[in-house]
Amino acid sequence: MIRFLYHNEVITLEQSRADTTVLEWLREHAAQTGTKEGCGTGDCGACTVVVAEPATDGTATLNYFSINSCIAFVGSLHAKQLISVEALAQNKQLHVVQQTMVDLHGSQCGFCTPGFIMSLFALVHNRQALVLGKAEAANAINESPTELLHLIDRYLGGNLCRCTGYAPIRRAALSALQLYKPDQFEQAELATIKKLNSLVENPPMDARFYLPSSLGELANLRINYPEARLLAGGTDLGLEVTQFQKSIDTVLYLKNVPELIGIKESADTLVIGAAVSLNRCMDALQKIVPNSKAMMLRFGSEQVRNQGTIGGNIANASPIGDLPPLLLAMDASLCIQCGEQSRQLKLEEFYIAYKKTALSNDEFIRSIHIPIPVAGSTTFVYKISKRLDDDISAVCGVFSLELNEGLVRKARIAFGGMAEVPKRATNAEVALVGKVLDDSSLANVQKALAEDFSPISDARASATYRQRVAANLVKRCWLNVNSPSVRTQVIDHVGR
Amino acid sequence: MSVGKGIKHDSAAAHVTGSAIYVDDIPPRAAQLHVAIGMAEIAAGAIQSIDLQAVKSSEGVVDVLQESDLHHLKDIGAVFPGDPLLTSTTVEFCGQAIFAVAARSYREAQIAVRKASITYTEHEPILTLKAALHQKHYVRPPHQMRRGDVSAALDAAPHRISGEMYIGGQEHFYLEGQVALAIPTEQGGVTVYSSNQNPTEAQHLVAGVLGLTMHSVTVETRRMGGGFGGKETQATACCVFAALFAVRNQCAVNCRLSRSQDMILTGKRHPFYNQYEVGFDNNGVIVGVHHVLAGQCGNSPDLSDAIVDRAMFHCDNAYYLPNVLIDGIRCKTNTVSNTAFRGFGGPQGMMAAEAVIDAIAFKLKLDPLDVRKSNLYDIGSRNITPYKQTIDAFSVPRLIDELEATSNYRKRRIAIREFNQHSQVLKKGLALTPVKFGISFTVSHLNQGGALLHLYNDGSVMLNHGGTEMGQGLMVKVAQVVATTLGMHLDRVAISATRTDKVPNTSPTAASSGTDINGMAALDAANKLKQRLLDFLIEKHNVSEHNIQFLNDEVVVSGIDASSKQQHYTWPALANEAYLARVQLSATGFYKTPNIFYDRTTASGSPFLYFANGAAVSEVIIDTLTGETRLLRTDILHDVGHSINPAIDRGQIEGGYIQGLGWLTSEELKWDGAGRLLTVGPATYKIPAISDAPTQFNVDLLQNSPNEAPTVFRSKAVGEPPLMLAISVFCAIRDAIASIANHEVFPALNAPATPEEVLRVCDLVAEQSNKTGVV
Repeated sequence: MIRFLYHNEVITLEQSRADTTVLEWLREHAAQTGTKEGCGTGDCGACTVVVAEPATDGTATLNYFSINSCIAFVGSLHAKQLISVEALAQNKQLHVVQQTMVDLHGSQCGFCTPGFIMSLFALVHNRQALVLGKAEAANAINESPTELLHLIDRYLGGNLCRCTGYAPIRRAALSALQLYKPDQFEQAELATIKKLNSLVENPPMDARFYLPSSLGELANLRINYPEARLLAGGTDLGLEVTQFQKSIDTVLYLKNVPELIGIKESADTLVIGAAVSLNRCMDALQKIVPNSKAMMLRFGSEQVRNQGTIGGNIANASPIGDLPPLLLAMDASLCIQCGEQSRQLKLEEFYIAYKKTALSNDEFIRSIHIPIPVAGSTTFVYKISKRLDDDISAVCGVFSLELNEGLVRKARIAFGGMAEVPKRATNAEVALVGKVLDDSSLANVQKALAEDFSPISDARASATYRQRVAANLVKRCWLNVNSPSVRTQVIDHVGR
Repeated sequence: MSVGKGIKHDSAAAHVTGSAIYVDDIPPRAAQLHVAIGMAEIAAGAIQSIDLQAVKSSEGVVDVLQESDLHHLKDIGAVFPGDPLLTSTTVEFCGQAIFAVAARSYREAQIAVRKASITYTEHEPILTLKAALHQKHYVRPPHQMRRGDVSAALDAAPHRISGEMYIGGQEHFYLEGQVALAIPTEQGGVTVYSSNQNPTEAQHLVAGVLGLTMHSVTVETRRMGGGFGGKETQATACCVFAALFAVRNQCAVNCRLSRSQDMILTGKRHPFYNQYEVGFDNNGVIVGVHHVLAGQCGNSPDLSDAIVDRAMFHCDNAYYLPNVLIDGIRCKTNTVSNTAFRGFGGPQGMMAAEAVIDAIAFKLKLDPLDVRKSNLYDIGSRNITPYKQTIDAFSVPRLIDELEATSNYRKRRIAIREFNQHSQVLKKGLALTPVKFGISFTVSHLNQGGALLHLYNDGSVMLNHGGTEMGQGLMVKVAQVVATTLGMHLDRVAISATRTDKVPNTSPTAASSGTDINGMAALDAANKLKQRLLDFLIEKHNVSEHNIQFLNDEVVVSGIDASSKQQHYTWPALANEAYLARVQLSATGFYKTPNIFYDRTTASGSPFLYFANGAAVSEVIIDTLTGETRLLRTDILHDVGHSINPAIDRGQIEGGYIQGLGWLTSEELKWDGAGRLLTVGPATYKIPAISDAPTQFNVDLLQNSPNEAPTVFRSKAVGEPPLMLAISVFCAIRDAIASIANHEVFPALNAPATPEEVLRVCDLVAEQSNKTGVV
């Protein structure tokens, strides 16, 4: 039995299927057709809804997350509030994000509009949260116009519009940010939290959609149901249902297990729970690798970063995930649990072959352990894709270098998109250690790199391009080390 | 008076609240069925056997259709045959429909359709444009336009260069995919709710396939979630499938394609392979040019004859070509049949024109803007197009002059040269390009529009016309025309769904003609209605026509009985009085575009009523290590004549430009070696997202520029032309790449200029310049 709030109404679902998506529930079960399907793969944002959850920082507030409802399973809503476009206007009075979109001509065909409205709704709420210091430590109250624009683009980067060219939507977003005052949802937060808490009690027992709330419970379920699918964000798993018409009979939902959603930092290690969202990872990683943020902001979209998790990005073993190259370069390891036992495994030993990992079907990833870089080390993270927003990398290259008076003491270089798994460039690393970053080492490392990889051609890029770009990223890295003031990326010119 | 005001889209409030109804949002009826289409898995060959046993026994399946179940019209080709609804014999492209399933739920239909077992004898497919061109494999015969003696002009020219370019296709990526809902009506008829730019065409073909007359079939389109040409002919198949199943099973049937099926099964913008040879003088003035424009039409003609023609009509763009030969070739490949897409071949032709200009400029080391200016058409002289239409109104020179000044073109040109000299990795580029786009369907009979206007006896007005709403704001613009004509508030005029039983025999909403033809038809209807009210008031009050004013939402009659007596009528009062006096309060309106003619056999005439003009300046930055590009700033000045709705027009300009940006940069369609489309969704097919829009995006409408042609309120069409403003982005990228070699090597850049393509050409240019020792 799954229970959640749809707007202010308690919904109780005796599930017929574990893999019913939130969009399916809205449109086909609840006859709420305001939310649209544009792609069914989480790539266009037409189906965006907002999920509100009580803040985990102890404040009695709600956090508002935009998600793609087409690839989210309805079970993941348990004890949360689902908000769709139908709830925003009250007594025929449009919500400020709706009114500004109307006034500034932000809709044309209107099909993407409900998704934009919900992303804007998340934006105005989270900016408020930023101001109150609830979420990120940010000085958001006095954003410069450029910062505001980046905030808008960040929140709307996962919403495709084919009609407007986005200009009026940006204008509407800016206006909404200026005009927003606490809305009915913010005013009712305490009452909503109370309702949500009452749903948490009486842990639901569903024969198909399990919601373990402790590590032990999860470990037992994993052993008892080895055929069950682990669900964290579902941004990949959802596609099996919507694109390949597969049925997923049994699901173990990971995001209620405290050990899997915590972040801990000690003197030498950052430990991130496997089910920590990409957005939360971004903040944690940024502290130890400042250069990772630009890449993380381009990881999927805001919706995907809210849904997707670090553990999911690792365990789905895609050769083009963006976190594995970074984590490989950082020498991360995994804590893998089976029953009461756990084992540590270096990330590079985790990948066996294309989409194949060392995880057996009675195990799960509990956490990711990232050594904190020592002084003198620096890490460069380069994501190359066809489009800036919401695109999968053609190549993702990460260079982690420990330099001493110009000499490379240690080097870890890893790439995504260059092999059947995310992989270290070991030949290139060997060619680099003990050298200074000059033209001669550049040529040698580029040569070694060509031996490290033989990438494939696919819809995103050709093998030739991937090889060429990988080699050129070495050059970019040299430039970034030797001439830090020289701009080497086009995104520097749009301020990202 | 509402004409001229930036009035909100009529559905804006419904859009933002999620209450605007699209076809898939219509509440389902009991026992409604859902369709999925079974598609061929090979690109070319013959079907050996079709085993649908597993499909039929799949859970929820109610009905299955094959070619043998079709007893009437079997080909739904829009202009020429070649598009069988279902095939049982020959397969011409990967994804071609072989059967269709109707099941109790969408998911059950999708699961069932995968269970077919079909065997084929495969043939060697022709998959590329160049292969088809080489083998002279055409869907329609080649066509030529010529004027003057090109070879003599080329021989005599002081300079002569040639070039070639490949231009990729484009997926429409309307956010709402193809969808239709059919509901059987009594006596064997059917009503189809369709997301469709061309309801009449769907009505015609549904009737044909079902063996009905058109009066038994009604097609309704309230709105589309985007069309862009992709629902001009491609929306028909869903209508026909839904209608067939609905009539066979006597229940409501929904046929909605998933995004991947939509991308595989429906046509796209034509890729083109363009070659040119141009001769010019020392100032860069063209003396002769030969263009060969080869369009990849896919497996059937569809609209390709007219599309390649329109490419030919636009390879002059805004430039006078004294001696010109244009070959238009329609290549046949074993890929999905390409179709209409905003610009309809015009953009691909215009790309050829601008490539020629850039090549001349680089050859002579001139600023491309100066070469553009010296080749522009000129009113009075140099004003005959290659198809012999005289250009008698042309705002491009004015647009360029104003834009050059407001965008600071010359200063920025210097600044960019300076930047590039000091920037090792990143290079900037700048370009200003104009657009001259011919307005009218080149198929003459389509240039007609119809409208139906009712005045109810409470003073409210119901407006209907043949145009469809796909987001472009057609409905509000036409309503503004009516409200202004009747001097009433716009909110008295209700907008209704386009329906084939209200206005018959309509043309597709295409060719940017929506407002021009339907606005004029509605104006005609409003004028008729107004005249009847005038006649009524004249008789009643014994006044002359000049005593009656339709203004400020009322009708004022003065000079009553030759005195100073006045009477003010509210609309409810006037409508009711007229009704009681038995005045006919319903009017039809009709319009046919005047003064257009074209003789295709001699490729000459005056096919366009007028030309739409605009110009854009784009500034880009490229990364010579990765090929990534960003658009930094855009300045647009566009001529929409006397705008009916400046806010809506501006939306078309911004949106069209960004759609053109996608076509020329990030949107890349890829097929594998067996002819299977690889880019079947937004994960791999990348239309522009918000960060791709330039942060400096200045858009202005040309002021005081009423259309010289007699259009509705002297406005100009705005649907397609702005897309071609994005050619400035492509030229700016070419400019940025050229800076690697000091603008002495012409970058042979193909479209789309993806990072991969840009890097390839950066490397090529660097290599060539090393060889020739420049830099």
